[in-house]
Amino acid sequence: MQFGTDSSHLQPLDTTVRVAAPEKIGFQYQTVGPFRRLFAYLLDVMFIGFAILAAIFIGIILFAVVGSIFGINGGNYFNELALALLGALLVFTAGAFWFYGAVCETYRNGQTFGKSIAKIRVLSVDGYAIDGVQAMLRNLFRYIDIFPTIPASLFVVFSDEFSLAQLPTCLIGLVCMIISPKFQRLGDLLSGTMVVLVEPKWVPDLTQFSDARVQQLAALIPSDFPVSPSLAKALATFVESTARLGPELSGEIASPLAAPLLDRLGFPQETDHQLFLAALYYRTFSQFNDEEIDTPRTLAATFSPSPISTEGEAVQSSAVVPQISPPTAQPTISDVE
Amino acid sequence: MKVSQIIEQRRPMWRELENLCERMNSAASIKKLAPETICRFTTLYRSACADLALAESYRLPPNTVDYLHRLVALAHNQMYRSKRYQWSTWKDKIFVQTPAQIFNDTSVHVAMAVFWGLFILSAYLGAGSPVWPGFAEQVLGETQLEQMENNFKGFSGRSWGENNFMAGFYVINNGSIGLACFIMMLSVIPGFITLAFNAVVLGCSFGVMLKSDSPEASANFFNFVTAHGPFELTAIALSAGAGLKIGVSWWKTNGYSRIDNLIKTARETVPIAMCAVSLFVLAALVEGFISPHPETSFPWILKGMVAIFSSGLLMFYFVVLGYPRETLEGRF
Repeated sequence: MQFGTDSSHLQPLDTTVRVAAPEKIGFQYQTVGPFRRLFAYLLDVMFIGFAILAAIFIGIILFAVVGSIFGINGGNYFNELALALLGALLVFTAGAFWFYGAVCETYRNGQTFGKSIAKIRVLSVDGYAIDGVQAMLRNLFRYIDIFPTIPASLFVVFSDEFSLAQLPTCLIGLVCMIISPKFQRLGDLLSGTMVVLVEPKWVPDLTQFSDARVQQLAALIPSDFPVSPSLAKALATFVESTARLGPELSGEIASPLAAPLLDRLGFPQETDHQLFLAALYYRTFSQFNDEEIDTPRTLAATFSPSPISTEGEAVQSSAVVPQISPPTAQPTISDVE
Repeated sequence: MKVSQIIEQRRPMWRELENLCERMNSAASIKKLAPETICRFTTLYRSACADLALAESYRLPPNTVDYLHRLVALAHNQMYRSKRYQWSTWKDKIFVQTPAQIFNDTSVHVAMAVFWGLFILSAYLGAGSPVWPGFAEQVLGETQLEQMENNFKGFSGRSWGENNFMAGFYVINNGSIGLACFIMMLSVIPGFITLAFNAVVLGCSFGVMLKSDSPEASANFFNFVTAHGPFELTAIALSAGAGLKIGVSWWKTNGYSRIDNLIKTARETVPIAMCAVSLFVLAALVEGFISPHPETSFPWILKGMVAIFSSGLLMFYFVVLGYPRETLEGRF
């Protein structure tokens, strides 16, 4: 919905970003909000944790192998080796936390392992894949996005050993994402990146109707009745949403769209609005097309209460008025797939 | 043709493209694909683009249009994949472009001047200069001064295992220091306060230990800090310079929009930040394996040579390699 008199420059209230491809086609990406991204990040932290655990495991095995080869059962050498391995583990941990995101996003086409599972991807704001520098920058600035931090001691679950530990609130990143139309955190803003959804939703199919009255009513709609692209879109959106909207809400939404169309066609207003829109959908997408309009006009005229004249003037007819009134049960609209 | 027929006819191709996109998700899996499969992918991608154009122009249902948008986006991601690090250009980046950029960067000059200026001044005042009597006590406090002397009196070095462990610890510790300098400098004034604080505290500590009443503590202190000092202190100033560069770009936009200037500057800052990271890692390794007590590592003379060598290396990198040459004109 748009507000104001001059609305040509206003953007719709959605989260899509349009990108122009060199193939001379414009397509859309859906940007991703904080919750899905947090899920991906937590998965990544989990993977890093597993990698660290694996490193510890390998270290212990190495420790045991070296001990058995040299016949060391304890003492100073054992302690020294343990300390050396601990040092290597610290370097590995630091490297994993600092470079995991940058390396993964560069070599896995904008996806860490967590992002792959969450079906999201990092892209440049122009819609193209990121480069290594962008990946490095957005991960470096993550350390600012997590600020401000709060002392862990505020939570009673932490013991005194953690009194100096700080917990990230991620407020800077969150505020940036709320302000930015593309849900960009500070790291994204500075590196010129955004995070988008890469999940194909479903393989589309037309809605099928089990109610035979839909086809009957569709046959009564004049074959030359013009359905503009915007009307076609409205019809499809309505029909595809009926199942999840419920009968009452569907009826409420159907009325403002169906009533003027019924008027235009000269159909009685008692015609069930939802059934009529379903019939118009069926006629638009499944039954007819512009090149294949050969339904006998005589038949339509027989059942049509008031055929539309070419001058836009309704011609009263004494033909039989179709007895289509609100059904006792709502039309069943079900997706094939 | 009916809409339902169009969808029915195209669906297998869309499915095939979707499956190919999944198979191409990693670089390794692309290498395994046959050339014909990749050719097939490009054909299907172009076909999906045409279908999307058709779907938008004609009256295809919105869910079909929406699906095609996502499918084309998915295929576009695979068609134009992420640009990796260009290893072939790294020699030029590391040994030509980065030193030249650092040599010419005003933010780095300012950060270096502030840090080293205050460091040297504080060391002079902390060493008991009559210009500001009691400077060290005011900066560090009596308790910390005493604690520092006691720490270095009992400093007896480390075993090789401890050296390894401490090297790991220093990598994390130095990284945190560099990150803190960098982040604070993004907000310019608090950054300058942090940088100045670090410079004054470090300089004062050097000055105090130089004139310490305990020769053992003084000797141990310089035995420990000499080798890794040049790398670590330069890295602190360098990371502050990188942060300052981005911080200044918030308000000094040079004719660009604020966000565009930030993006541009952030990209320019990466080599400086990476240089600082490398110096911090080098400092951590030196601090872990060379700096400890001479009984368990190297004699002081060798540490002095390491310090001279590392200082010379830094001068060579920043000044000799960074000095403007005609061939570099126009690169920055």
